[in-house]
Amino acid sequence: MPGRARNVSLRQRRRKEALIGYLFVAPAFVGFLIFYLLPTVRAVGISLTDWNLMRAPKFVGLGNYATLLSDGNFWHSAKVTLAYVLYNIPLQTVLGLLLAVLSDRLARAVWLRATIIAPYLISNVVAALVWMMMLDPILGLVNAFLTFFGVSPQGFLASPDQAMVSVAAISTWRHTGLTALLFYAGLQAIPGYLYEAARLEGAGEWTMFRRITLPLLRPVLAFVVVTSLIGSFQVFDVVAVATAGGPSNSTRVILWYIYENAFKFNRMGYASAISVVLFATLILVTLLQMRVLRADQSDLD
Amino acid sequence: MTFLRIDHVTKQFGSVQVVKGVSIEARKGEFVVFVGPSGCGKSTLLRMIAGLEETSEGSISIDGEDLTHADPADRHVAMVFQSYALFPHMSVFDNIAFGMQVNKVPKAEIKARVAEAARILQIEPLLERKPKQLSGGQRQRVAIGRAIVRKPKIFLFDEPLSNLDAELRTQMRVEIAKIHREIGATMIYVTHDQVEAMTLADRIVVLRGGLVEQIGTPIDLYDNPANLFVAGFIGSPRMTLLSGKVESASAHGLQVACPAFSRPQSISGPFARLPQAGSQVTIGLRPEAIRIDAANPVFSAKVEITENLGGSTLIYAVTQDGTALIVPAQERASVRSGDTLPLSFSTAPHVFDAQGNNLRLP
Repeated sequence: MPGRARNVSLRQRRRKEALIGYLFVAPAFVGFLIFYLLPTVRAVGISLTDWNLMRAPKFVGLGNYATLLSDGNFWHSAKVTLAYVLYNIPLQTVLGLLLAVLSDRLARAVWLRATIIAPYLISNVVAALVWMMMLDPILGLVNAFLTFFGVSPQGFLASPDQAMVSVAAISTWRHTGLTALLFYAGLQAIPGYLYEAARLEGAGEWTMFRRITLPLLRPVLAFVVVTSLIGSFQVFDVVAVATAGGPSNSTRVILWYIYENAFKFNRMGYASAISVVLFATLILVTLLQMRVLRADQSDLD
Repeated sequence: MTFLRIDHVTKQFGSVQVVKGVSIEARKGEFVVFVGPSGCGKSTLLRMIAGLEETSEGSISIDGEDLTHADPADRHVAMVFQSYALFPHMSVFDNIAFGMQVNKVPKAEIKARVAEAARILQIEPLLERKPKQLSGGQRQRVAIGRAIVRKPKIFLFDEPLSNLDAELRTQMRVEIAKIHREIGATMIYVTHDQVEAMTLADRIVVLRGGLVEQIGTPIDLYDNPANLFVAGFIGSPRMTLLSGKVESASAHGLQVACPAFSRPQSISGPFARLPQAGSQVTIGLRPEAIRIDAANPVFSAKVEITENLGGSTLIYAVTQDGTALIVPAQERASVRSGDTLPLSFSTAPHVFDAQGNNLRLP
């Protein structure tokens, strides 16, 4: 039966092809397994224990999670983190989009994009240090500037009311360039003749942005918002350098609280439980966003 | 009456002049085709009419209004792009309605006008689809629909059929001719395909290197090409060009010797001017002017290959001096590769001087 023989050989070929496919994926997967997947699984394991690094971990079931629900400090840190995200993401996204569209429509010079991306090339720690000095309430450049224009000096990172906004501003300053560059790359995929056709139809710049640019940028927008949102929820280094959670816990974001529990109070189990909750929340938020923004579909051919 | 007037326009891209002083006029309702090889400036010229390219010098006016530096939106022209330029995220309806939506036309009127365009183009069942779900021909119709609904003063077509396969191209060519007849609008059409130019145009503008070579009706260009370039570009199969030398010239005609000919031939006038004896000329023969003539052959050619098209046959042959030529034979010719064909020419051939200008008076 020649037909059957052909089927068998086809199936064999498929299997061989699949094997080669797996081999190609293997190096990346091994790295992912060792550095991401195993630690995550391990964290879930630790979160079910009481462990202070000195004694052997003691299994406590969902005890840590129960503690977490009634822990006012945890909920405070969640609130502070959310505030940071809400200051940061909309501003960063809108500014990035504005910079990208302006540099696309007005000046396509490389040096301009280099300037826009420059803050991102500085590490978070350095950026935080530089801004700490600039925002210093007494000696800082920013207050000197404000005084010159007759505005009274502000507390910035030293003020409980302004510290979180100041940290968000530093992050926005550092990340807007990257957002702009990603949007700029997305804009290059939109063919120029669409704008020409729209112009002939009488569309102005704003109409073209709203009805052509924005809808066709949707997959890039989804990517940018999802990645920057995840990054924002995990804000740590700027806080660690600039405020260390203070003043009066006004910048004690979730990751800082996890860090305190793990390495100051030696509550590894509890710190892991918070990490797992953050992880689950971020996965949910990401899935929701991907669905809402139809991130997996592009209208461009 | 002149509807579109292009007056001595030039286009400069940096140090390169792409359009070098072109003047063209079109009447209302006329179908004008710009044709020429790539890089001749035809698309640039079209985009200048649309306002998508700035005009460096000269002026462009439509319906008596100087629009040389007007915004594209204020010119009341519609353009069909080679790539169709449909908005990929919008339905066919929204694509066609886009201009009217932008200009805040009442919803009911938009609906009526889109429906009318869809009827003309037979795309009524497709209105809810996205461009991605359409075939090339359907996309082309939608692009034309978007142009029609705006009732523009002038339609501009930028090589609209070059992305379609041969069969669809022929079909859409007929459709465009029908649409032109139905709505009677002024159309400017750019193509590098001389067949499209011949079949669609009321008048053809042949461009080369940013200059107009000749403007005329298709028949005019075919019968009386101004120069060698137009002669070679217009007509399919191509005109056969044989180089030769003038032996004598008089009011009665020329005596021309060609390496391809068995003996010098006399060619009767009238001529615009007579070439000097001894000067180089090129003899141009349209395919239908060449006939197989065993009784009184003037020159001969060796058959390389024959193409049997069923109704007729194309014979590809090479003359003694190495010039390739194509002889159409109406009957099913029984020639084979390697045969030597005895040939003569029936009507008076074109004579081009050394500069390529046609010496024959129209």
